[in-house]
Amino acid sequence: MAEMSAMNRKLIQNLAETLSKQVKHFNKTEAECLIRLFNGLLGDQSDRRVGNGLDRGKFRNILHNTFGMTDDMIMDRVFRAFDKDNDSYVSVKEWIEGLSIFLRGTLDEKIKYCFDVYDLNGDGYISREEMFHMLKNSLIRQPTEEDPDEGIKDLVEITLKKMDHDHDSRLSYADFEKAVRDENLLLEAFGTCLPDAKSILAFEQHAFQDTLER
Amino acid sequence: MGVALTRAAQWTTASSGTGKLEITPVNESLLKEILEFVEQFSSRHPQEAKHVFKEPLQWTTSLEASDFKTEYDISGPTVKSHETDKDGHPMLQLTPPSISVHSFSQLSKIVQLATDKRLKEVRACLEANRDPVAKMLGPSFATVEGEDSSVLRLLEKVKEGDQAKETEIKVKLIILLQQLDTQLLSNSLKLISQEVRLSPAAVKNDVELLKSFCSEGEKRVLTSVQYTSDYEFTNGCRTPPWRQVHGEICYLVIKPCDTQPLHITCSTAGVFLNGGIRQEGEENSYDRTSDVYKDLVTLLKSKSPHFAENINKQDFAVQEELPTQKVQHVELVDAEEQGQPQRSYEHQEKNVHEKARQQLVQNKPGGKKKLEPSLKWKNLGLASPYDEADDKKSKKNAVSERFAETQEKMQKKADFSVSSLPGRQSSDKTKTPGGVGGADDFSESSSESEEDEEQSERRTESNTDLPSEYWQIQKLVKYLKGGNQTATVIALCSMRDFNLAQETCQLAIRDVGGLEVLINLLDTEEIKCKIGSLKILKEISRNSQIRRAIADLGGLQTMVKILDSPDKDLKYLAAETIANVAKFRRARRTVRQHGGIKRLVELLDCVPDSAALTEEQEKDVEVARCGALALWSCSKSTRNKEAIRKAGGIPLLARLLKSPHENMLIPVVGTLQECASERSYRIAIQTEGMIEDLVKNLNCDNHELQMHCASAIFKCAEDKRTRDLVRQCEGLQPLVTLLSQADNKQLLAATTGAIWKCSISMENVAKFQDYKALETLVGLLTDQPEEVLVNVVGALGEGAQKPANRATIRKCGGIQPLVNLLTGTNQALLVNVTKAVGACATELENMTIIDRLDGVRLLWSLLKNQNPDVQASAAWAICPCIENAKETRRDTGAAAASIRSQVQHFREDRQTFTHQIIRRNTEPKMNTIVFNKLSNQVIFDEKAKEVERSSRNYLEVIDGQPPDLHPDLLSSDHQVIKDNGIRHRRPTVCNLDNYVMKTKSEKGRQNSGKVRHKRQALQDMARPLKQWLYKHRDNPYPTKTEKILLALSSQMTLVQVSNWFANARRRLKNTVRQPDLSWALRIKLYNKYVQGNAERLSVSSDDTCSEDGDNPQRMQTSGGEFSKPMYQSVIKKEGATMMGTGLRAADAASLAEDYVTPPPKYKSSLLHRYLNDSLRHVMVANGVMDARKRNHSGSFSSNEYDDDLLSPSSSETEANFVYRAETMDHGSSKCDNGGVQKEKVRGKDETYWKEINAAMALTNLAQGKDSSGSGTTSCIIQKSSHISEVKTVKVPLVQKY
Repeated sequence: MAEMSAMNRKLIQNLAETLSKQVKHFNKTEAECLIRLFNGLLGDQSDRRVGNGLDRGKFRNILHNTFGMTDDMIMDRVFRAFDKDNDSYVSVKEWIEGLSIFLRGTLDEKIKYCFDVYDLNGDGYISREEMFHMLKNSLIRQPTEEDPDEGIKDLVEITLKKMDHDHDSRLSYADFEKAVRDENLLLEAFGTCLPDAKSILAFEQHAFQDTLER
Repeated sequence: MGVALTRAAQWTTASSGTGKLEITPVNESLLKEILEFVEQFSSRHPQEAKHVFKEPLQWTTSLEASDFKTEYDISGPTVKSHETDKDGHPMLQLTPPSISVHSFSQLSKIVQLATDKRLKEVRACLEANRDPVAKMLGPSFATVEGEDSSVLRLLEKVKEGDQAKETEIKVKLIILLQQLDTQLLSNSLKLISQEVRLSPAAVKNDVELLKSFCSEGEKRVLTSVQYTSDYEFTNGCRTPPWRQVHGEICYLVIKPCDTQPLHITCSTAGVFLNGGIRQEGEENSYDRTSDVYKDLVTLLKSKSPHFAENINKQDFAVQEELPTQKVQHVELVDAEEQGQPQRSYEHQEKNVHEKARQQLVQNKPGGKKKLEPSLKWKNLGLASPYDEADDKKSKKNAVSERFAETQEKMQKKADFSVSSLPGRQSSDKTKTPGGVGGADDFSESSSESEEDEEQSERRTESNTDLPSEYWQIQKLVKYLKGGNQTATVIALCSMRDFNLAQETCQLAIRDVGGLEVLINLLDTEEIKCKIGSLKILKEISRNSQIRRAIADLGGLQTMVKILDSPDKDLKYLAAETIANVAKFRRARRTVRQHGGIKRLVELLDCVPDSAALTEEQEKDVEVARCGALALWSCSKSTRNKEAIRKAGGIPLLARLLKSPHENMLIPVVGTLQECASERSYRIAIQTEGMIEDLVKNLNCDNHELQMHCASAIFKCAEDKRTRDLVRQCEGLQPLVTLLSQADNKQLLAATTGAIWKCSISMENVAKFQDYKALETLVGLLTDQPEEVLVNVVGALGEGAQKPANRATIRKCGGIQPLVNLLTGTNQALLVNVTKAVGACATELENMTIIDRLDGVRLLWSLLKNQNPDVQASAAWAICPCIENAKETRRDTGAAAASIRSQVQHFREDRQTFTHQIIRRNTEPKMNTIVFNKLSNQVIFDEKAKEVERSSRNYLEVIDGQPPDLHPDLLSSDHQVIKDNGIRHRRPTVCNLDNYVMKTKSEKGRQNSGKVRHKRQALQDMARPLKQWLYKHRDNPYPTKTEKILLALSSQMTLVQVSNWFANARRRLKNTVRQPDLSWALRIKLYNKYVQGNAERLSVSSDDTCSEDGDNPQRMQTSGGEFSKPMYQSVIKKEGATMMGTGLRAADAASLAEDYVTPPPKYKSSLLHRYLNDSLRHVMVANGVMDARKRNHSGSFSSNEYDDDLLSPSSSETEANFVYRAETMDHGSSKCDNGGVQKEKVRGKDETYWKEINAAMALTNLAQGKDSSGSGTTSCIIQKSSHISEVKTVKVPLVQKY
């Protein structure tokens, strides 16, 4: 067992080194910690099967418990954004890369990431319908209103007016990027898909310090 | 002992047996008494002490064998007493740890032996023997609760007759014990009653109250309330004494309407149900069968639902007279919440009410001031959603706020502390959860002026023409309210697209309730929402109404809290918003009170020096910048300045001052220049080396920054060291350079201010000279706003201290604009202008220009200015003018005529001016100024003299006779004149005049420092009235119009004037009681006979009187035609060729000048008067001579002439005067004693002699003239006792040829 873990440690260190070179926001130690954390999250069984990673359920649990996200759809989209190869599993590499943006991404990276999250169908545009879909839970329904969707539609119009610079009734990446650059608050315009500062801090502390101590 | 022990002593467990005595004060005192009793027992009652107990008292003792001494058998640990009973048993036996004692004598001994352990022993003994009496005397004597039959039993035994002696002792013993018992009982009762919680009186009150509810009818709450016992002890209890020791006060039987009768025990500990005491003596019924309630009403409420229900209806009666104000207040608040139409009426009522309350309680000291109706209103406003009625409401808010403010002020003024009634206080507390810290608030509002209070809210436009933005914003606010954070962020971002700088949008946000939502968002955890909200608030808070609304909604408190947040975006946004909101006093106060200043100062802590910054550092800098901005806003309050200093802001600001970023520097320098009004800051700015940075920043391109730097220097340069520092840092040149920025008026004002203050140092003036600053400054004298002018003129005034600069100013044509500015109204400007003009006037050429421009007249007129500072500086300015004027005159004799008219003008001015001075003289602080003016006045007089002289010279020139008198000599000492052998009559008079002036000025100096009497001031005030009275002495009844005019000229009220005249007429009548006298005669007589302190009707105004009466005529004649017959005759008969008519005229005019000179101060006025009179006497003497010459009559007493020639007022004067004219032989110029003789007053007795002497002298004088002799007449004026000094004036006589 000791031999095993020694080999394992070596493996992790190698992996960490390669990954930390690919990802700009983590150094080797941090990457190592995240790998350990990833392995910890995977549990024992996945240790054997290479190529596997976190499945949707596990990932959503992490998002929910660690980063306090609540919106199912957005969490689903975040999973998709992490899972670059669309194999329904977040591999170690995807995990590190995803977290790099998730935790420490620059504005550009975050704009890209958010746009990916919000582009539900992946066609490169956020359409009116997609917006409606994402915003439909954002207003408290007033029982007095005749049309409960009225407000949402209005909100979508407001958003379009604000962000749709080329007036094609849908948000291209360029639109989105420009709008966010003008007003940083619009980065998460259609739902929280990034962790807030507090949970980032908590997570990093947990990952980098607690894991090291182990 | 038995009863006391069982009842009074407080045992730990109620049941007897193994209980222990509690350690309570009651027990303590009980034990002590028992101890004393036992200790003295064997000595007091030796026989009884020997009585052997039926059973020994046994207890565990801490005593040891070693404690026992003689009379005891000590064998190891056990001890036996020598003393034995008749059976041989030892009376005391100690087998540790137990001890058994058989008699009181032994007990006494033990107590004595035990010394410090005695209390413990007694305690142990009593604890082991709960009923000692029973043990001592046998079980038949055991204390049975409730009954005391021991004595009876004993008596029975006595009756039995056996063992008589023993029984006798027993009886004695038991009686003694009983005595002890009662004593103990009463003592403990006393103690217990001291700790009563529910007092008998309180219970009685309650019962009476309850009884009143037992009345028949609907209100009936109880059927009956009865005591079980009718007997009431003196202490108010109705329970038997042995129950009283338990603290029980009385037993009640209360029959409620709905339940069984309640048997209630009222005890000090509370009220509870008992087992049902009907008759005394049922032991078990005393026990408690319910919980203990705090009073009867609560018990009844819990036991009887009916009672509980009904008693509430009558609550007001029960709850001991609640303050009615509270009730009313509550009602009012309710009404307001319901928004009833008569709200305003009630509001007023409430105000009245509160005022009344304040008056009611104002004498109660120590209370916290709390009167915050505004807060209450605010809360109401907060609670209610904004709607159409809101507008009205907010208006009302403003009204009530204003009301509160005025009330605050009123309170401050009255300076009493207002405490509220307790009930009200608590209600206030609940209503103002903010708990705005009382005293601070109030002192605050006093310390800060209202100057920055902004306009209260305006009515917004009516609904009809609402802009489209309004509806859009309303929709967005709806989403803000009803959306989750995503929707909120979108709404916030969208809202920012509106033109938030536009007032319609700002007000729309407020009116649709957006402000509340925005401020509420600040309280959430969502950083994005907070940021978005702050971004909007930051924009809209540029509007003053919004600012107020934000402050009202408590936004500042939240923002101050946000300053602690780790998120830098939030921090700087919050700081910037605070900077915007804290533009008015209340907001600044709020920021300070919530610790905002400290937090803002903490924001300043960053590293601004390095040019290249990381992103994080840049944010830090931004945070610091916004912090500085907020501090800048806050620093407009004095207390905030102090708070910034205390929070350690100065070093941080000093560090930020080194920052290379302009946008950082502006708020920093802004804060500094704002704070520089405080001395501590000025020192700090100087010592922390900030001057250097300020100077450095003067060189930048940013006008705003330059302006603030210059302004900071302006404020700091009051200090000499700072001025030097500015020079050393080479800050003067940039300042001069900045003068070219003539378009930016603010910058110009600050720059010129800095130059002004800097040029207070002469070294700086020299520098400015090098930089040719004055030329530029002179150019700025025209077409500039007043704040610039004030500084420019100030700078010129300082600069003109140097002669070279004076010339510069003249050459640049600065005199004219300066003189023109004398006509301004701005007080600060006038002060500076007069100073500048005064400084310029020291140069002769300048003076010429000033004169030409009529500047002197303007200066004189400024003496009448309301502002004492202006007066003072104007007076100073006149000094050099007059000095130079004479030189000017001499050169240009032709100007004499104009000067003459000017002089006349001055005289009028001077009169009013003097009146004013004297009137104001009551203020001590005025004295210095008055002094200045007085000295100026003297100089003026001298000037007048010079004018006369020059005019004389001029006339002499006309006459074709060379002036044989060098003008310089005129101003020199009379001694010199005499030594020079000047035998000109006219110069002597002039000289006398000079002397008069000198003495007068001396006198003025002496007196000016003294605080004048109010009385004098009043008399001075009445001067115009006196004048009027004297003028109209034939009919001293002013018409109403005249009265009004007089009131205006005297600064009295119409009533005062009327009263004054009534009093004056009465005085006149009372003084001279003869009827049918003309008023004129009365006045004359009054003046003659009036005594003491009372001022003569024309005394202090005697000059004016004479001016009104004799002098004007004289003036006319002399000044005009020179045709007064007397003089003419003199001239002719004496053939005084030197004394041309012109000279004569000048002479007369000059004298007239003197006559009209009003007294500067009371005493000096007296002196002046005397001197005037003396002059007149000289004149008279001349007249006498002339007359004598003419009619060859004998010698006259001067008095006769006085009566003829002078106003009656001088009659008193004469009494104090002695003239001595000494005639010298012709050519004998040595004048033996130099004429300057000091003669002591030798008392009134000598007066007569002196008068004779004077008459003789005059005769001689006349004779001397006759014989064409020339000589010197010395006139020695001896002052009356109230002018202590003896003044000597030597008048050289006119030389005769």
